[in-house]
Amino acid sequence: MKIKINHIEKTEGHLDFEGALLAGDVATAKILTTEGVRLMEAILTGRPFPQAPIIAARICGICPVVHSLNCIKAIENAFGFLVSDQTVKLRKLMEAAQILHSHGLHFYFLSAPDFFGQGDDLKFIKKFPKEAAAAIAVREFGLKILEVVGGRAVHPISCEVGGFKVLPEKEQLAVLLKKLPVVYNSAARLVEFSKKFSIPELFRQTEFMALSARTEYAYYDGKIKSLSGRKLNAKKFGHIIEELQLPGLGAKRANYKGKSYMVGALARLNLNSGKLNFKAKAAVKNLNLHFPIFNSFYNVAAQAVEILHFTEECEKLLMDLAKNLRPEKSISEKLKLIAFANPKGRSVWGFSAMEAPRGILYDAIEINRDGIITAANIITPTVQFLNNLEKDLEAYMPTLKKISKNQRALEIKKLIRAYDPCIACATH
Amino acid sequence: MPNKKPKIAIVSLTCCEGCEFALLDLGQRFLDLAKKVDITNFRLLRDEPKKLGHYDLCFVEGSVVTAENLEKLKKLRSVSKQLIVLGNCAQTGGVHRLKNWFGRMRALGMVYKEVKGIENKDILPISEIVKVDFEIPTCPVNAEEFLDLIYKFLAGRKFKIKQNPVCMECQARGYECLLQKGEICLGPITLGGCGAICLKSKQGCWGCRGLLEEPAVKKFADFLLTRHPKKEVESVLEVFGIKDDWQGEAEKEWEKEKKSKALMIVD
Repeated sequence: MKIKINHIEKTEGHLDFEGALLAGDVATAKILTTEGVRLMEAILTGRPFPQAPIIAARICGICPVVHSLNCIKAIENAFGFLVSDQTVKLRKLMEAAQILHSHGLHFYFLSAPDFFGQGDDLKFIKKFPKEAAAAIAVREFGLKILEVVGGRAVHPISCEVGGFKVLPEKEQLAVLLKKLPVVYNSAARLVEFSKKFSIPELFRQTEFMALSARTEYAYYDGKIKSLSGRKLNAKKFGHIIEELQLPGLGAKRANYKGKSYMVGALARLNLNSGKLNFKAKAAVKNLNLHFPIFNSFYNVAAQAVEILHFTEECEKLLMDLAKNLRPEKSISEKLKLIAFANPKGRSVWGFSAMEAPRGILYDAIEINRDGIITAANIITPTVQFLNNLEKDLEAYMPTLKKISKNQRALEIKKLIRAYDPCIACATH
Repeated sequence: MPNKKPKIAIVSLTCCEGCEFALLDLGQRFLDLAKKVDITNFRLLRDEPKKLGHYDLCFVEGSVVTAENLEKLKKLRSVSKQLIVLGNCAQTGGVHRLKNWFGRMRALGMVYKEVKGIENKDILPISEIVKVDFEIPTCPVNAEEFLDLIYKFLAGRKFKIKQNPVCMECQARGYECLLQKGEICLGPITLGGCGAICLKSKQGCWGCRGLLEEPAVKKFADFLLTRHPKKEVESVLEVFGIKDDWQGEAEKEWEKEKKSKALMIVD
């Protein structure tokens, strides 16, 4: 029995599904990405390095922060720059804020309606208005932080290689702190809401990968760890991960040791749940989650836990910065680095990995002696999990034999959306 | 009772969808708007309708890269009373238009080993493909302008952006002038309405809102060339597609010169 679903909505970017249910418990599943190619890596080539983070941000409209920051980090790695603690804190605050607003959108608006069999968000909002208000409050908190620290929420402006072009005012950060009680309530409401989801049965052993660090729930820096215990730095990760191209499809795929693997909220929790902040840890207990979980539908519950975790993270960073922020020039400004300059004076490569809302983002950039980018490779989270999603679909579909055609299509979409794929990122 | 609310579609072609998120980021204000109009096609919030149309206002974001993009755009035009381009990608081609200068096949070959079967059209402004009624510029859009357009439409009034340069908004807000500081900033020739948001973060304007009517691009570029190397000026003018206008104007001037020379010979 062939199954084809065109134009799967409520995902970032465009995709179709094509699969079949065969005899026995065998199924095939293919995600056909239909997004046009923008060739972002090629258009970065030939540009002076200060333009790169601005162009790279445009890879994605929902996670521009991480695309911009990771590109900056890769360039700093190439130049051998060590940025100040304050810069790291401000960047972490931006990344935490971005995860909050991205998760808020995906958890409630893109994925949750599936668990209640509702296709139309505007109707879903009428059914669960308090939860909608909570998701909006969480999102608005994240967006506001980005406006204050990054200058704007979509395609932020203030960050540059070596630091920030402008710093926020202490008072603005203090104002953000005042919003916390509402945001905590909202985050807690979303965690409670996730209990109401009827999460389908699915079990498939697979590999999980996420950034991890000894001292914290890693998302800005750290080594890439796999559930099987391997630790890699960004440069090595880029060498070991195999990027594949499927004929005629714009979005590439990636394998680790010849096999599919999962990245994103569930991968982070499977690897690092012990490092969660206090309230998020309590939420894990409350939801009765025991990691590692090998059911990808739980990615949505994992996002709810992370909403709480990153609210706590924002609180910590805001408290610190609202008190201790001091004026500081970025390294670019200190060195008067102009467009056509390379402090190393020779061709250099830089590598960086960060946790985007959807998982590990990897950037590798080569800059020549004149400060011009000569090569770039970007591996986005969705590229990394597309193969795993197909494998999960193949495992899940045989359980859908006895339901109607429409119902089956909904279940398939539910699993696809639970992954939170971003095809704009994947194709870039 | 017939539903008299205007029907609205917000549709994306190839892009980052940042403009759609900029609209969603209006939060409650977006939901309030959804009560006043009938948002019948918006794939971020609801299942896509099986058939397109008819729309009173159709907002199109992104550029045409694939045949499917092209077909969709033409279809949308035919079922919409007014078609409005949303954001820089649709208006001028966005950052990915850089591949036009880079060479689109060269760019494709850099990213993919196997290029067969991957669609890769040259990037054109939407207005060069179908008739466009209004343009909401910027990368990403200023959501206030989107609201303004719809509320004006509801009141039977026309949406129009005032012809003021970004410079004016920058000065009114007291931001530091980056041109005076010696950086490249296209504020004097770029259409305002963004509140000089980049200048607030000390980032020079690169013209993502497009040019003012009758801008003196060549004159301004000549001024920049007195202070910066050509490759630097050119590279900034490329990012949001201003270079095309610059070259266009330079060409026109050259033609004029040629003509006047020809006239002189006739004389």
